[in-house]
Amino acid sequence: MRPMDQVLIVDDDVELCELVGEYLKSEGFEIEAVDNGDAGVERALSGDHSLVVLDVMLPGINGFEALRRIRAKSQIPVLMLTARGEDVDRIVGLEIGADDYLPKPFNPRELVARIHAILRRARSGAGEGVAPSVREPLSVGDVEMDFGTRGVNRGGEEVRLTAMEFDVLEVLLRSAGQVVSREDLVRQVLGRIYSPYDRSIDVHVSNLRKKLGHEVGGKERIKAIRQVGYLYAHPSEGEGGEQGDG
Amino acid sequence: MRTLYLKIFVWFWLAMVLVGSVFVISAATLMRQDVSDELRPMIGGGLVMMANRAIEVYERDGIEALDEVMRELARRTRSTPFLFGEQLEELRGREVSDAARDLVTRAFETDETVFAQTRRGQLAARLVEGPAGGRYVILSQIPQGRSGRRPPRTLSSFFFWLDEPREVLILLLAVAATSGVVCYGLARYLVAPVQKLREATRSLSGGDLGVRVGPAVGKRHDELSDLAHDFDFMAERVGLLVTTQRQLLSDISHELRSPLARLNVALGLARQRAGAGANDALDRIEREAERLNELIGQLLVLARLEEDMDAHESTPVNLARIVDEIASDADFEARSGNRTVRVTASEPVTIAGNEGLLRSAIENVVRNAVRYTNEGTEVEVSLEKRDLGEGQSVSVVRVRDHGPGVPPEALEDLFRPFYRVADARERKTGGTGLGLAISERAVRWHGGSLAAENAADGGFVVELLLPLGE
Repeated sequence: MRPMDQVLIVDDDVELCELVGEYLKSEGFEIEAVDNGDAGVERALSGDHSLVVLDVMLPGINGFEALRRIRAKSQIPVLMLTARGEDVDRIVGLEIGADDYLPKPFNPRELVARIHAILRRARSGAGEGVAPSVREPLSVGDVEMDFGTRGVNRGGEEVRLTAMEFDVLEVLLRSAGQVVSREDLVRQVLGRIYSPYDRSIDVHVSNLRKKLGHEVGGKERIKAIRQVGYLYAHPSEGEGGEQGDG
Repeated sequence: MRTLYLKIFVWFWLAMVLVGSVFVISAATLMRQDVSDELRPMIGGGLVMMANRAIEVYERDGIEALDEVMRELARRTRSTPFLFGEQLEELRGREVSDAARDLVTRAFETDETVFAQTRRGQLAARLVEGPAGGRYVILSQIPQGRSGRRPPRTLSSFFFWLDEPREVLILLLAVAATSGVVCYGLARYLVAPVQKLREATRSLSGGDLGVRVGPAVGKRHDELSDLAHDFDFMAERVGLLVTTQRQLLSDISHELRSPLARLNVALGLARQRAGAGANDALDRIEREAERLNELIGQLLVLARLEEDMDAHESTPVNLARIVDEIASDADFEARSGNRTVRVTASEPVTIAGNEGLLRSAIENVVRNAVRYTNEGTEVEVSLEKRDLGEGQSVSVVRVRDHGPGVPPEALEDLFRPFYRVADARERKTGGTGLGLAISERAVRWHGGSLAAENAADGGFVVELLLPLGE
């Protein structure tokens, strides 16, 4: 049995923090709450926590700035709390490197589900999960993924991806040349059921395009298939090919 | 504005032409030296006296003496008398005009004094018998001041000017031309600021709270510039009130979010601890909290849409992709209610706009259609370019449902916040009453418009018209 997961909540609504703390405790988490961005960054970088729940609206430095500072030094999973309807917040958060977001006000059950999903993924990535780190590197075309270090190379150059982008890329690469439906992506990567009007997968894919380049070998690297999902271009030359457990 | 302009111009011009004509005609009439009845015997008497003296001298001393006495008479009476013999010859051999000769002829046929109006003035002539029985006619111009300047007595004499239409016509044309120029200037001067005020009022009601007319009208220093200043003051006040109200709405909505967030978590805690018996009530609380949350969210969107026109960025937006995505999302959602959403036609259209706004505009309309379309039917979404003529074309997103439609009298109010067609039904099917209001404002932000109508064969159609830009 692993020790209880420590969750850091950064939100200036102290009463909300208390309530969430109470709820999460009963779900088996340990809670630490801070009410401003500076303290949040400092505590998040202490290494005491498994996950940070970060509100966007904070006095002092805001949530995005806090996330930026955290990401500069740490890959600790971060769940952003955004104001509902603020699409821009959501997209900016995911672009900076949040693992997921939850619009506020939220259902605490949803919060717990997201926390579990993020932690599960973080663990499988870090080799602590069900699947041990026996997975071999995956290489498709000019992109190579190393699951031990969670590093990605494109044409020999390192590309920095967030945990979420890494997972999206993995799913796409394993099905290179085949269409992956948006529903599948959401289920496999975000660990939840696809709901309409949720465009976070599209944000991650768009980030991947930006970071890896829009084209590979004259073809569109990640092609959007209307009303279905995405298709990662299969390397036509077959060079490199698929390795690992494809 | 053109009407007021025209009215002022036409009415002032008419008035001035009328006044001018009356003036010209009456002046001409008065200038005409008409001899009044009282003066006629006097003039006649004068002529007879002059004639008697002249004839006496002529018959006694001959032509040279006549010439002398005529000169003297002319000096004394300040007129130019002529004496004619029976052969209509001027005794001293002077030339006279045809009109004068006609008058002399007439005088030989009567004992009365006869008068004639010529261009140079009034002429009078009278038959006089000399002591020796010779018949003569004396003709003289009536001196100024003697003829009297009374208005003519009869209507027919009022229209004497019909005899000289050319002069009068030229005068009238001159009156019309000068008054026309003056009235044009006057109308322009009066109407131009009114026009500016109207433009400003329009943009104010169109939502441009920054519009002011002072700089354009304020230099006149009259009632109109006062009005302009009052308008500016009013616009200032309205702007302040509206901004305050929007800010308030936005603040309230933000502030409501915090307790709602706590309520949601507290609800979760209540679920953990309460027995199964409380589930129905807790579900209900959750639903209502969710409804409240949706309402607050849309209020915020609406507030932001009305708040600041510049707050949203404009970038090229692939409309076809957005329509596709929304349709597939809505279809996903609709299928649980045994309804479908289908894109029936699509053209590659990219417009300049704000993706978030466009998305919520189209999404609200589509979700609305899904809400009202009958079970087992399809919501049809199409995207096409439409030519409006005159080289203008728009992209049209058309959303059609197969539901009960909307009563025709409600069509206009449909885009008003919180407007509900049928209260009971609306609540059953959910919705905040803000969706279409948001769509309308979002489309308007893009310079487009929203049109709603009932389809001829049942169902409801909403069209979002978005300008294509360059």
